[in-house]
Amino acid sequence: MEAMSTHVLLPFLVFWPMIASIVSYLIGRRNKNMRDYFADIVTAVEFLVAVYMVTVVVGQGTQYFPVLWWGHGEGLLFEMDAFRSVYAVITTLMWMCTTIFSKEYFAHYRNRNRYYLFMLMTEGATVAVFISGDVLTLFTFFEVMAFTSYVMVIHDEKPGAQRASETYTYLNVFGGLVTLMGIFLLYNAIGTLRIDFIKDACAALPSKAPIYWAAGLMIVGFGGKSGMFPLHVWLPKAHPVAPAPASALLSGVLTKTGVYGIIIISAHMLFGDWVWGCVLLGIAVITMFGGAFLALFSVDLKRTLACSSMSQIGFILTATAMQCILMAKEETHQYHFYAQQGAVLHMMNHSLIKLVLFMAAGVVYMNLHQLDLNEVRGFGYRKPLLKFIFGMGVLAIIGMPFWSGYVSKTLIHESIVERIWTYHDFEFAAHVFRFVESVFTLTGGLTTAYMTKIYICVFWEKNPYKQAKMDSSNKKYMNKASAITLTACSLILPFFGMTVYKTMIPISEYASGFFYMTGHPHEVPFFEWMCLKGAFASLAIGGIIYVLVVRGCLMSRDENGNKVYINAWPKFIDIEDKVYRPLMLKVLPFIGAFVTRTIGSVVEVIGRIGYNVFWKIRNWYMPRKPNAHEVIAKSKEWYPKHKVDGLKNMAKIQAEYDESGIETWDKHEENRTVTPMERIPILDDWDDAMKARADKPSWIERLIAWVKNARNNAFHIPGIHRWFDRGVGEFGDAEERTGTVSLLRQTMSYGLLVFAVALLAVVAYVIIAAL
Amino acid sequence: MNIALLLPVVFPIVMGVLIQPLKLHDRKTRQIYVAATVIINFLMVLFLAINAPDGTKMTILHLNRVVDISLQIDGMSRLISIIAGFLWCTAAFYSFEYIKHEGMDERYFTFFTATVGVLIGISYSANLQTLYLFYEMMTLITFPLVMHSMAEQSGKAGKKYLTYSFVGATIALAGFFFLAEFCETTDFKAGGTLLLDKVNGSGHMLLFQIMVLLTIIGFGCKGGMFPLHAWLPNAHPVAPAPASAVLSGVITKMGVLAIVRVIYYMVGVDFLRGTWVQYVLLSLTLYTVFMGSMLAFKEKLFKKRLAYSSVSQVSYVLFGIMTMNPTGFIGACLHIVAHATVKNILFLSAGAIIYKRHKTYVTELKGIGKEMPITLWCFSLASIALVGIPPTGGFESKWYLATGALEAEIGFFSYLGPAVLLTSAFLTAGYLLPIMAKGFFPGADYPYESFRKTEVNAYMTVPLVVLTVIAICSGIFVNPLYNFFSSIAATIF
Repeated sequence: MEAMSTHVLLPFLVFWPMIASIVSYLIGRRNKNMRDYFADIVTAVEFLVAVYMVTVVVGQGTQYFPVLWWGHGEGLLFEMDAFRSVYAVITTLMWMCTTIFSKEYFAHYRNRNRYYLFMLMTEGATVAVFISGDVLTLFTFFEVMAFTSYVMVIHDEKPGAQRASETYTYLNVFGGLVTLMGIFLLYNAIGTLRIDFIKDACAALPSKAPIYWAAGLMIVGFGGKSGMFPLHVWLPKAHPVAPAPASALLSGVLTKTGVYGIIIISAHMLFGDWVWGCVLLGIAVITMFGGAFLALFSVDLKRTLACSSMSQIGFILTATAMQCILMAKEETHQYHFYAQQGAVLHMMNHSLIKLVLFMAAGVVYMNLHQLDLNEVRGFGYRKPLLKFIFGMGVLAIIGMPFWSGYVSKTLIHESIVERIWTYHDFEFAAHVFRFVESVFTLTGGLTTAYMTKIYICVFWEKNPYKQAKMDSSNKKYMNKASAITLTACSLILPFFGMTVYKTMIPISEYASGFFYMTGHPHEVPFFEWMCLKGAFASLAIGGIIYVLVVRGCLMSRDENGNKVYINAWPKFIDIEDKVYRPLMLKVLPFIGAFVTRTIGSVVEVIGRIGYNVFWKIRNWYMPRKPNAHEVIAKSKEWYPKHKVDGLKNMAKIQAEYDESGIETWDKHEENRTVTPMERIPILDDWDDAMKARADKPSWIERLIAWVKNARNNAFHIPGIHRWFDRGVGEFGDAEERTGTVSLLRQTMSYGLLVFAVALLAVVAYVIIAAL
Repeated sequence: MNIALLLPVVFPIVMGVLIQPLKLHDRKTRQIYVAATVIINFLMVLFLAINAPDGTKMTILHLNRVVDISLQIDGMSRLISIIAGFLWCTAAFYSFEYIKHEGMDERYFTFFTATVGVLIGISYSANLQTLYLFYEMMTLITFPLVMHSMAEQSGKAGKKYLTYSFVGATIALAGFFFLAEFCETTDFKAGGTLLLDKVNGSGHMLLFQIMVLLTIIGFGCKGGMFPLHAWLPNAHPVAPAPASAVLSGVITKMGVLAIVRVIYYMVGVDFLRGTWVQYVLLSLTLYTVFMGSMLAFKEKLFKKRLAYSSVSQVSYVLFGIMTMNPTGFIGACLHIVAHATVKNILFLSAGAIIYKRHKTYVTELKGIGKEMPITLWCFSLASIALVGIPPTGGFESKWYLATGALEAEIGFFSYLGPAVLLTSAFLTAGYLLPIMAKGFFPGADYPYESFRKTEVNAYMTVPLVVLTVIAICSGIFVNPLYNFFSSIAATIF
């Protein structure tokens, strides 16, 4: 292992919010305001440390911190290279902004303390995911994050939130476990999980089969988290029901942890793999288009944004896939930086855009407690600041030139275009990539359409019914802290977009090491017609779709003749309700339980048959023991004289038994009035037997008597005999119970006492032996 | 030093039995008495585990020229005896409060205290006959704990428990004669003492293999392995909560220990590795893993759900043992620790809920996290540990079990094993996490104004919290445990 420069602030970034979360909880039990300010300070400190770490990474190169005592093997490894430092800054920035906004947003919520506790914990875990140096560290905090963010999703505890968070957590657990299987296979194949070593180790393998398996499994967890089709189901449900600051984080940062994992798969494990690139591209295109399509139909403000997140993740995954595809062929090597820069920049942009949009939507919800477009319509009609803030987000996400989204979308677009023009493999592939390009442009158009839809609805139209109520909150709809935070966040977007060559391109070049980018990237003329035409094509398509589809098909006149938004999405198309839930909750458990229960009953029946057969056979060979009366009656008939001795002994034992004073026992016998002894007919040598009564009982019988007495006198267990009869008695016949053996058997669990005595004897023996 | 081995075995038994003649009717006195016993016992076990060198042996009794009853201390004994000794302390403190609700305290503590001695006897056993002796004794002495409530149901459960245990032990005993014949000695020696030439020479290879398989299945009864598992979901739920906690957490591990002794200390892994016996055992354990989780998922009675969960989880351990691979074995040992602590937490918190709120069905637990926050916190963290979410102990054990299975040369099972373990983990999440979700997040319509906090007192919460800390920390600080288990693995492979 190379010499690593360690930096102690890396674990600080992870554990500081986690420890602070507990402190904030304790503070919050005393003073709510203080807790809010404390949380602000914690996240601000975290942000400043992350920014400081960027300067350290720029100055001294990649920083590491191994935590050797944690977990197995070499423990955890935190690593901060350029890409990770960028994402640490974005994560902490978003957390800081949402935390400042939370104070106002949560003012009337219950269980706020719980939210702050888990929100800060999630911050630590999320930062840890982004600065993880090996896959195990990544996975560890990925799971921690999944569980802590669950509390953020369910915070409202309304039925919708409960259901969505249920889906969220099961998808997380399912995805986590499938990913874990992939990690097992990866580890088994290459023997290391260090992210730095994965690429070389995977490339050195003779067969790629295990890596494909591992990648196919790992993408389930990461893709599920990022909202990739077909595991996106949680996203449009969980984001709208979570509190707005939480949705901003879920959408802006938590989905990116999944993307981070997918980058590890496609840029490390399967670097430049054509097959993987194509598969991922297929999924990415479906995600991209599907998300936008869902968003277009949505009539819920936050649901639209959530579907939009899904679509934007599709853009990022397209870029990731294109990087694989471009690296796969010699001719297109030089262009893969388009894809790489597009991926990094679109991740970053999407985080920042969604931060603005979700917080602005949160402002709407905070005032109205509604998200339905018809209800919130006209809210921003006379609120210029909010209109501006939301507008910045909209312009950025639709890819308007001079806003940040334009740059990243153009880069991704370029990567597809270069693939089409540079490498002519065969007719079909070229057509496929042309198709991808047109879907890309169309999705851009859809993005424009749905964002225009919500923007016009909330900020440009008047509410036909309650505009007065909407305007009543003018100028007091959010406090100063929130206003400043939102405005500052929204200004970042045009700032980045206008200073492309000074900010965005250097950032993406700085972060390129993580993607194994080689060579110097080409300069892209963003503000020349060649690039601008793509954006304008998308915008134009968007405008047409808005006019024709949204105004035309997705709105209708209500009874008063006002145009309202209608939910035209057919309800039955719900992959969660129609496929996943029935499959996971009904079909598979039914099959599983049916099979296991059937096998269980078969085994039990076999057991019972065996039990019965055993006793049947035993009874054939060992018929019921005749009682004394029968024996003697028989003996009178044909016993020869010399065998009567045996009978004498029997009589003797019976006599001893009678005399040993076990009245308590006799009382318990089933109301026995006549002892066998009394029924024995007088024999020739009866007198001898009578004399034997004077003899003492044997030690074992005394012991039994003692145990019996102990049981009856000291233990006082009502009904115990019944249970012993039921528990043990079935092993023997009822007639046997008077015998010595059955006495022992009945006192079986009091064998403890016997054992104790024996042990004492043993101790004595040992001590004597030692002496 | 050698005689000292007898102390932790005899001391609790004698002290337990003395509860009756001493007539400790006063609750306070009895609590001090029992607490002192289990703590002193734990300290003795700890002292021996640290100070007694490997292979310290003492013979109690020579039954005849070749068969003796002896105690010995080695790696596995240390592991199991420390777990038993420690968990008995936590369960004892918990019982002080809990048993008020069940009654018949004196009888309960008599058997409860004495049981730990027998368990330590099992873990210290130096040869198969000693193990068998204590093993049968364990069945008998835990029987009153199972039937403690004396209700109709516990009677049936107790009967089932005895029947299965005796059948299992009898099958194992049948195998014992074969092992005694074909092994050099009945003593446990790391790596096994099988006389392979003798087995080959006898011409009864197949018969011997069948008998080994039967021995393992017989001992597997206590661990809830498939064909003889059915007693466990009946017997564990009817016992008082602390008793079911130790039944599930510790006593099932005695079956595991016996199997480890047979496979690794008598027959030897080389004999079984790659044979059909191994594949049969792997199939049985994997089936049990799946079956237990599946039935737990379907079960609505809280404690019964946990008992089914034990069926599944103990077979994780058995699966690790059956991989016959060092990493898998380490995973199994780690899972012994993880499951012992976690299952204790789960049963104890279920008991706390029964004790305070008299709720026995999982469907009734809505909002329980508001009423009993500490209990449900412990329960939730334990659930997460049992699912195997990092950084808890359950994750580490799963890691080694799965990587061990992938390393081991067991063909298709290398992949099937981890897949089944993870499927079962998903089911585990399915049957445990809803309790947490409903408990902590009862919904916006929950009557916050009228709820009252009914947290149990320190007798119950302190053991829960201590165990929870261990369940989490055994995952974070897994390296010392790993080193200890790999030292055991080094001797037997």
